[in-house]
Amino acid sequence: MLTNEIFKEQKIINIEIKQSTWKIEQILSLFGSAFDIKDVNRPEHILNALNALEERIVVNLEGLQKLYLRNINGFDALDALWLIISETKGKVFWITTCSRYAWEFLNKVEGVETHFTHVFFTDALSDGHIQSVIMNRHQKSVYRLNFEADESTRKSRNYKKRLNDPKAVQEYLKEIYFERLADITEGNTSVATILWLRSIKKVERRTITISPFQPVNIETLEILKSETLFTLAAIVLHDTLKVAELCRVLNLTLAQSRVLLTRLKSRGVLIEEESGYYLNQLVYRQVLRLLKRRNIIH
Amino acid sequence: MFLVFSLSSFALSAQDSLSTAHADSAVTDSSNVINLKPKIVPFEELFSTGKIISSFIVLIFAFLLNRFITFLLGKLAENQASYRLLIKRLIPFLNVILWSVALFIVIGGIINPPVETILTVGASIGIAVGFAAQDILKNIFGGFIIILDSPFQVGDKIEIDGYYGEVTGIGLRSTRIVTPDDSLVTIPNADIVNNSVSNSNTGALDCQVVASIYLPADTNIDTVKEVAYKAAITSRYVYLNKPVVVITENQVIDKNYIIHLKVKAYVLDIRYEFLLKGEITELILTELNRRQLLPSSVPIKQVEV
Repeated sequence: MLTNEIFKEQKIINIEIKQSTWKIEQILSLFGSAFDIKDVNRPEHILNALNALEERIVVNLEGLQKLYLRNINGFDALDALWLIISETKGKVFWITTCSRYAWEFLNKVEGVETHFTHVFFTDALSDGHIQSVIMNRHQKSVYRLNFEADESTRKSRNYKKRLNDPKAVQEYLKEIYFERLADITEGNTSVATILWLRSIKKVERRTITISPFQPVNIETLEILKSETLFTLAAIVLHDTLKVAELCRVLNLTLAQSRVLLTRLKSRGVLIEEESGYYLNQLVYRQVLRLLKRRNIIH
Repeated sequence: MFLVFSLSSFALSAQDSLSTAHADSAVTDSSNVINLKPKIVPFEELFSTGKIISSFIVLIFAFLLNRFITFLLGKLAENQASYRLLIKRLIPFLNVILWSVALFIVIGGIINPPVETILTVGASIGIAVGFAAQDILKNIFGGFIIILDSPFQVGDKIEIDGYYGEVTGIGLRSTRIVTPDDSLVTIPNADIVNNSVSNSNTGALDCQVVASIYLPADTNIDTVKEVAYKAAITSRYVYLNKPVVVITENQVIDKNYIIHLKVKAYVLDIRYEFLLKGEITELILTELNRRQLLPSSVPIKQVEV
């Protein structure tokens, strides 16, 4: 939409930060390759190159949460970015994306909002929006939906009242399903989409059967120890962390970090990829609620 | 003491009215005898074996119920950090209510003595207790004042009489606090009511922590302040909804100029108070050592007398 409707005539440069880039050399190298600038040793090289452009450009920087590490020396890349943004705003229109809790943290400690004129939050949609996002995607297929009831719903009076009318039953079950989905996902469409796909029980004769889902109860996973909770909070703030990065964030040894992350991975709370460990989307909201109850995320 | 004397005078006036009634009944005509005999309940009937056993059962039941409710609320408080302090505050109130109901059932429901007996016994007990238990009564009244006035609540960190710690219980006679070295200190309520109490968190989960670093006078203050600020904001225990402030003061110790760096930050849970202080101090010292900004000894310049 941005390319087709708003920035029709401007050049757009997309920079996606895929891994932790908290050192100044790393961000200079990233910007050097993105803007095709050679021999970049200092932020001034980037500034001069961008200010020398003949026409204004748009830079879309995705993944701001990867540009810092919660460590005394982990803000060098961000400091360089603020300098570049403030000195090139005459020639560059900067757009950036960031995960919510990293944004809130950076706003409290660095006042990140002061570097931008407009801030939009897109992760807290209303219940109705979640339902319409999922149903709009489904309507592109030609399959019908059949919602199943769980044991407690079947015993409820509201369900029994509607048994004579199959259409009313389906409307009622659909309403309950999306209420529970909105409650668990708290407006997050990506988590809602994952849970929707996991709710598909079977597909036959052009009908998709949706079974009620049970949220994972993480309280039983014995993750109430403070060390574990702080590890989860660190991953929430950074999105993805490697073992060595967790050492720096929590001032632990490599062995301690590895044990903490491996234990959480074995319980299904974390998923490991090449870029590091990140929270399983299925337990994301429950973990957040737990951390907020303990005042660790605030 | 006022309460004791008023009970005594009430008992005496009750007896006076009885003796007056006796005199009146002696004067009236025998055909209009008004039965003004006071109710004299035999001791054995008043404190029968059945009543004693029933009273014990009620008191034991009240004791067990009290312990059970305290245990349940304690467990609930530990699982709900944001409501922990509120739930713990309810416990002393529930104790008082439960024991009051139990005593009412025993006295009013089981023993059920006549009013005159209550007044007479109360007067006697009041006089004896009043003289013998002045200090205890002061503490009990102090306990009521603490519960009603609420200078602090269960879960608050307070300093009184040289003791600093978390309030774990507010009883009728005393208040218990646990110090940082895990000692349980029992402070009589009368002492609390009559002295100043310093409250660190006033019912909130967070409280301010101050970490102090002493540096030589020729240290680069800007660099050190930046390191100190980043050490505070990157600590896992810090509460960032309240500000982190770094203040520098100049002091003279043993004729040497010293910079006293104070890092004021809030901890996300009062139970991590000293962990936050320790972590901030460690992070600052580690970084200053890495940058070789911290000499092995502090004195650099001497003040000329």
